[in-house]
Amino acid sequence: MKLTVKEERCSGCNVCRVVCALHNAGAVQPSQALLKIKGEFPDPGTYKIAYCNQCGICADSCPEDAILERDGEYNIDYELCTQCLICIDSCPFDVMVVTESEYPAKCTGCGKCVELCPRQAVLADQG
Amino acid sequence: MLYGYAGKILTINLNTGKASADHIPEDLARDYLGGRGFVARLLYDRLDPGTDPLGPENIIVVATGPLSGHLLPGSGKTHFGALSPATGGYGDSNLGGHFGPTLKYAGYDCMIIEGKADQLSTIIIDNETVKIVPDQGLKGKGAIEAEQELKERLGEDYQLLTIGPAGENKVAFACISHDFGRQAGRTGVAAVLGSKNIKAVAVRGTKKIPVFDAKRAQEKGEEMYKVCFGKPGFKTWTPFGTASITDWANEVGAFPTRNFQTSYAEFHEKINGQAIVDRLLVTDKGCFGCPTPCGKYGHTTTALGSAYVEGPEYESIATLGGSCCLEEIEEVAYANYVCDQLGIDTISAGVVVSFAMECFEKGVISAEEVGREISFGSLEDTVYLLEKIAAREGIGDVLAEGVKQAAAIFGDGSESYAIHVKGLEWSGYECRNAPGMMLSYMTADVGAHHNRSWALGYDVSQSDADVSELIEAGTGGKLEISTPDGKVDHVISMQHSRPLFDALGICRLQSMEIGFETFHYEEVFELITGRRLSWQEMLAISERIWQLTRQFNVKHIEGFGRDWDYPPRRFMEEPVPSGPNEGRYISKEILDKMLDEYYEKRGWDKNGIPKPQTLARFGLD
Amino acid sequence: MINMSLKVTVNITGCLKELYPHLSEREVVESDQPLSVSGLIGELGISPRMVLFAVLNERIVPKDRQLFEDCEINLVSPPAGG
Repeated sequence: MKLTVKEERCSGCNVCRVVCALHNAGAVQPSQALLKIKGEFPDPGTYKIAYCNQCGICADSCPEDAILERDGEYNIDYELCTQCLICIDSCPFDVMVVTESEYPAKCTGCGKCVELCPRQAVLADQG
Repeated sequence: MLYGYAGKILTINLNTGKASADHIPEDLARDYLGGRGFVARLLYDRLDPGTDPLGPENIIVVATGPLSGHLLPGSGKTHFGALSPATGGYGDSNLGGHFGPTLKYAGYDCMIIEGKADQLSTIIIDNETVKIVPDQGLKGKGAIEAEQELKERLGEDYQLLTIGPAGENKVAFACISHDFGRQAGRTGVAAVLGSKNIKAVAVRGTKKIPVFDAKRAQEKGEEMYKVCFGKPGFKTWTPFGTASITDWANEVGAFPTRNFQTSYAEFHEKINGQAIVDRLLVTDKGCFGCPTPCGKYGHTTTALGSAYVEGPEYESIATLGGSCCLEEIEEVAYANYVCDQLGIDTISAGVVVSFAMECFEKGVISAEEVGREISFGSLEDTVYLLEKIAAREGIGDVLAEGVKQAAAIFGDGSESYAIHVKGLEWSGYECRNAPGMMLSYMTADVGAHHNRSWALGYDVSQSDADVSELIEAGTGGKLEISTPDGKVDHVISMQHSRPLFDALGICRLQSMEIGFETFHYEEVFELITGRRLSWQEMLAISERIWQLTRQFNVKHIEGFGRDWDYPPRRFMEEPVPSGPNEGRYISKEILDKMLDEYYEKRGWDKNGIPKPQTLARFGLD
Repeated sequence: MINMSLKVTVNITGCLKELYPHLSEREVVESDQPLSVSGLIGELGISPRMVLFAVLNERIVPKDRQLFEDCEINLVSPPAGG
């Protein structure tokens, strides 16, 4: 699933991040989430959502070609990954993380964030 | 292993500058759950009688609950407690936002701050690393301003607690601020933080919280969100948040107006939830994990200036709008903003300011003493007094102690309209025709606060009138007398159920307003902690906490007893002069009967002191 | 003349559940008479003062609004403070 957002609906509850980290890293620990929410307070009182739009820049940066595209989604092949972590810095949205075992992780398009966002601020991109 | 918990208590000693982390004692988790339970037990164990609330020997306990920070609706609550400078007894307050979950991710369920720093400092917690950093540059800064500055300095990952000038100046009702508009407002915990020279606490955490059955807990958490999405309250509650009660509170004559002189404000439609949405709203602002954000973040413009502000929520509308008679929502919001920057609880602030206004109106205090003439309905006068209070200048120095102390100094009969119980100012429900709610305020452990038991609905629904008559009569008009019958049991039951959420570390509104059933909490609690407890068993823990906080007051307040449980004389002797409850008041005789029954059912003696056998029954002897 | 009977689904929210434990969260009310929101509240034995507002088809409706066959209505109670 490819994501899109409607930031004006976001209330900053971070449910997307909690479920993302649980589902993808098996941890109650939103810092492992593969999307980010930033509140712009006190002025102007809005939320910014950083998310993976499957741009593929991480794949271009990977010296091992370990990030592979299928049906418009990019996934890391952990057999090929050498943990150089170059991809982490390449991400223009800063939404890749280093896992506990020191591998990179990126949005897998699992859609959990979309499923649980109470405000429909994170959505499936219907193209 | 304690599943669901982070596992550690962090103790920060400001005298030595050292921090230490200890395991959460298993019996503490077993008998008190967390949050409010931890706060109550640790304060009880750690503080000696005779402790000065503003001396270095007082401690601040910050505690999350076993469900805080997990995947379930409303899991963002954090509890704060200290010996209260407002009451001299048990003090606690809680806030939502994101601080508690982040403290847990740093590895701590609970934090104890003790001693006193030698200069104004910020505590910075980054997982195991704890630093106490002198920060004179923040001196005198507004609470929101300080948060903004620290957030810019430390980064987005940090969650912050800050105090404003009122906290630095030890105002008895100074509040702790977080997330640009969430406050632990009540009982003056921020004054204790100020007395310790702590301006702010910052925390960042990247650890995992262990979960008993992680897979099923995740499934259950997801299910709870989906259940919430299907609840009627999901759509109807969110648009106005707590402010939606404003019109209703007026309709049933429970809206504090002109320092609680009356209980109906003609202008209420100008300061209700709709007015917020139409005239202020910028965005809904949610706490951690909340699917139904009651936070209404807005922008206001008044003759005094314009500002961004979260709120006003109902309590601020009731006390700043109703009690001080600020008749436009923009003015209420601006006064709310001033309180937020100064770091003053909007509830006490509104009651203290309106008390001063009435004292002035009655000639108890003069223009010379106040520094100017003041009157109800003036935003300028409200802001003037708030600033004097925060700076402790002139009359502000007296008012900064709260209405109980101020009335003792002003005298001249002002005690009867100093609206408080135990020294804590009354929150937003006038009770002269609501005996259950009156008893709730009288017996709340912290003083006159509504969140331990909200029996007003019970009072209104249990009036003499039969339903068909009410339908025929339509809404409005005078209310029948609400009788005290059956109210004591209801209040006791609510005093266990509502504070239980504070011990679990979650927001009660998901249950009270959105409609989660107790079995949802039993199930998710078991999957997260591995401990099977029925709701009834959890309520029994809540009851233990209630007995403990009463005993805390016995231990710390000299001569504590029945006399501390009465409302101001106004509510017992002065008939409401206007509105739906015109002519109503509840005599001391009726209240005494209710207190007798309440004490008896609690296992307390005639003076309201827990009997030894009662304490023994709860393992508190 | 057709003898109309009316079936209405009512969602009970907030402290109404606490105050009226005999009601379930979702009640079905049948009536052979025309029924307004107020009438429905009376049928359920709820004090009208405890209904902050009624929501029909996602819109707040006045209490004299007539209900129609198979409609679903939410009775919203006053929220219990901040």
